[in-house]
Amino acid sequence: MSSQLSTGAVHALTHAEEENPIATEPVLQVLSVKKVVSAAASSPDRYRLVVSDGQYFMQAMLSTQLNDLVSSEPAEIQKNTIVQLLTYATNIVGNRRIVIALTVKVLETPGDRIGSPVTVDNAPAPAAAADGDVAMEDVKPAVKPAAPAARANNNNSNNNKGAVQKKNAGGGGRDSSGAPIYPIEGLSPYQNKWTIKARVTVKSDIRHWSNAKGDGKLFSVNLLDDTGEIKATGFNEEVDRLYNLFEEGKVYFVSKARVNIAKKQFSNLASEYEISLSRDTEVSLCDDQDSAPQIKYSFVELSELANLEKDATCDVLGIVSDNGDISEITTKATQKQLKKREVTICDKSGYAVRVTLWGKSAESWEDSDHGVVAFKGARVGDFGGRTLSMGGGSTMAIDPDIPQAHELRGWYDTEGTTKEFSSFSTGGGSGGGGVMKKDDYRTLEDAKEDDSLGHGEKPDYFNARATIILIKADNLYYPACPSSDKCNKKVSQEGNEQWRCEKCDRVFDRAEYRYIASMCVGDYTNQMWLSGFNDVGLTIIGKSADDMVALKDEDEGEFNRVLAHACGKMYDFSVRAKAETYGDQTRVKYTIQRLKPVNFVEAARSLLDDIALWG
Amino acid sequence: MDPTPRVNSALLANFSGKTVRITGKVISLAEDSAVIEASDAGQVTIRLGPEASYADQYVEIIGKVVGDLTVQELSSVNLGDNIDMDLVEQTVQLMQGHPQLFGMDA
Repeated sequence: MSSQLSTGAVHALTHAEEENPIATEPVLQVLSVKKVVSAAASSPDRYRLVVSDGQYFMQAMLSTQLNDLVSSEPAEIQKNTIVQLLTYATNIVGNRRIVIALTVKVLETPGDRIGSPVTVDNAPAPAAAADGDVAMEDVKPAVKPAAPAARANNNNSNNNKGAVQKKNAGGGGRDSSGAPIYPIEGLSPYQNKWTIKARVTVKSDIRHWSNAKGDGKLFSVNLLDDTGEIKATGFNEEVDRLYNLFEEGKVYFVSKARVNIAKKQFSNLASEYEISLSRDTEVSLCDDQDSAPQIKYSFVELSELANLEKDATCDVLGIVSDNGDISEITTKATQKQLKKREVTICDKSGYAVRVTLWGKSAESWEDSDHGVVAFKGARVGDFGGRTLSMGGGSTMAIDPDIPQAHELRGWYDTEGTTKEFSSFSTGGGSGGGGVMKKDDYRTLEDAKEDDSLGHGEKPDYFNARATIILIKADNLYYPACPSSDKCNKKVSQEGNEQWRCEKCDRVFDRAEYRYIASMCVGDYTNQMWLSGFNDVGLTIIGKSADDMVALKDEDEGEFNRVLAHACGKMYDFSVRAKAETYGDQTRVKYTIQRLKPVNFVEAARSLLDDIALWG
Repeated sequence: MDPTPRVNSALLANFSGKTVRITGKVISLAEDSAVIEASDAGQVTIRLGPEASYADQYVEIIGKVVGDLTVQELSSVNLGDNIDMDLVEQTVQLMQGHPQLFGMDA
């Protein structure tokens, strides 16, 4: 059975009103397929087709969503394939009109070219006849620029509804002005006169900025329909006009806005494009509020978070194991007070993770008694393993009415309450959220037992509160390069009073000694050898390394006494653990990054809090 | 030897005739007695021992409970001027709540 090509379609498409989707569904034959490589490295390739209706042929571009039809093996669309264009648009490129295929149906691929089509560029002006043409004539006057369009559309809407039939990938119906609804998936910068019907999934706050070029404000909404999700941003005057119009959760018609390439760093959506709301953009509330889907999730199990890159976004669903507390921090960038809260969630995979809420969401969070919460578009961070953070485009839904949530609830009620959860934070296991610092504290026993600590590619960090038990007296310090630019490389002695630095290539008459203290510290669980550098040594011993060198020479007894005096003091150590291999042996080395004398009042209070938590 | 329980003013009654340890802020000082404010804000009279010398604002006294709110000092220690009495009170309460941890199962 060979398909009948829609004779006259090419001619009609070429002479149709520009940029308006013509809604007949012509059957055309593809005469050639050519790949157009995109200039931008991240943009996908595009395919240019030559299509014919047996009489004339014209140029067409394939929408990137359909690239698979050409690039698959075997290609579904190739030379001589007959396709039916279900939805498309036309555009003027250069001095000719081309059609952009948005959705097509592949019919068959006969062996030969049908008819002897010639280029439509030379064809005479449109003649009447086919239904297709009549429809287009009707549509033509309807879509004149700006104001008249509204009136004309209303007048012609009856005609349009009657004559034009359409099938659309993304939910049927039309908007109030009679133009057909585009799928969000089909949006591209190649045409401007589209209308989408979508639900607002996220509306951001109005954000103000101020930089060298001046001030401004902006807001954004994420719009969702059956085919996809896209972000729409409005600046300055559009903020005033449109911000209150959009409400989260409602469905709107949006038309006459610009489609741009997406700025991925500001958005967490997968879409290639985003929409700029401009002065001409029209937004109207849709009568049929159910016609767009609610939020779409693709949840990641918490155990899989380690596989996601830092700064990736994800959706997660979990049971609230800890509500955290509101805390306020001052942002380094703008010196503003910002409220935040860290909530801990856990799921079936046996893992728990902290999610950071900011601003309003931190304040308006209602303490949940092991309720279910879903986060969409949460940003992955790698602080202390893995954490999640609510960004500008993230949404949060408490006890959402979706099957996965009910399933999770069921799991928790039967198994979850007694389960021990592994957490990503480098701290003890049982999911106690709250102050971040506390989580990083480990007992020395815990740190020594943990096989993974220090063995990864990157060093691990943890805090420990311990008392100095012993400081090794030999190799306490080394002679360092005294040059003022912090060289600090070990200098070698050449003859009396001559010290040579390899790095600076200079000779000095004295070296500046610096500590490389190796000390054994202990807490109530175990003990561990830590090494510290000059500043650590200074704090602990209280004398400079040079002084100690002199003292050792003059009065070894006093030297030992000073060292002993440094023992027995308790500090909060900030430790870096990294495994190092010497030939066959691999050992974890623990270096002191920072140390602080223990503030006993604070520490005691913290202990009291912990005790209270145990109930 | 039994450990000496830490007390505040309210707990003194439980240890009548026994030796206790009490931390407090010196309110007044006389030649052979002193008044301290314990961690629960109650006032306790101390009959000073022979070598007592209360130099700082906060002191800790080990002594025998002789009257309702009177302790005969056996030994004392100066604790400086910066004691968080709230912490002391909480510690006292915790110790009372978990006597087995402190060897005080009577």
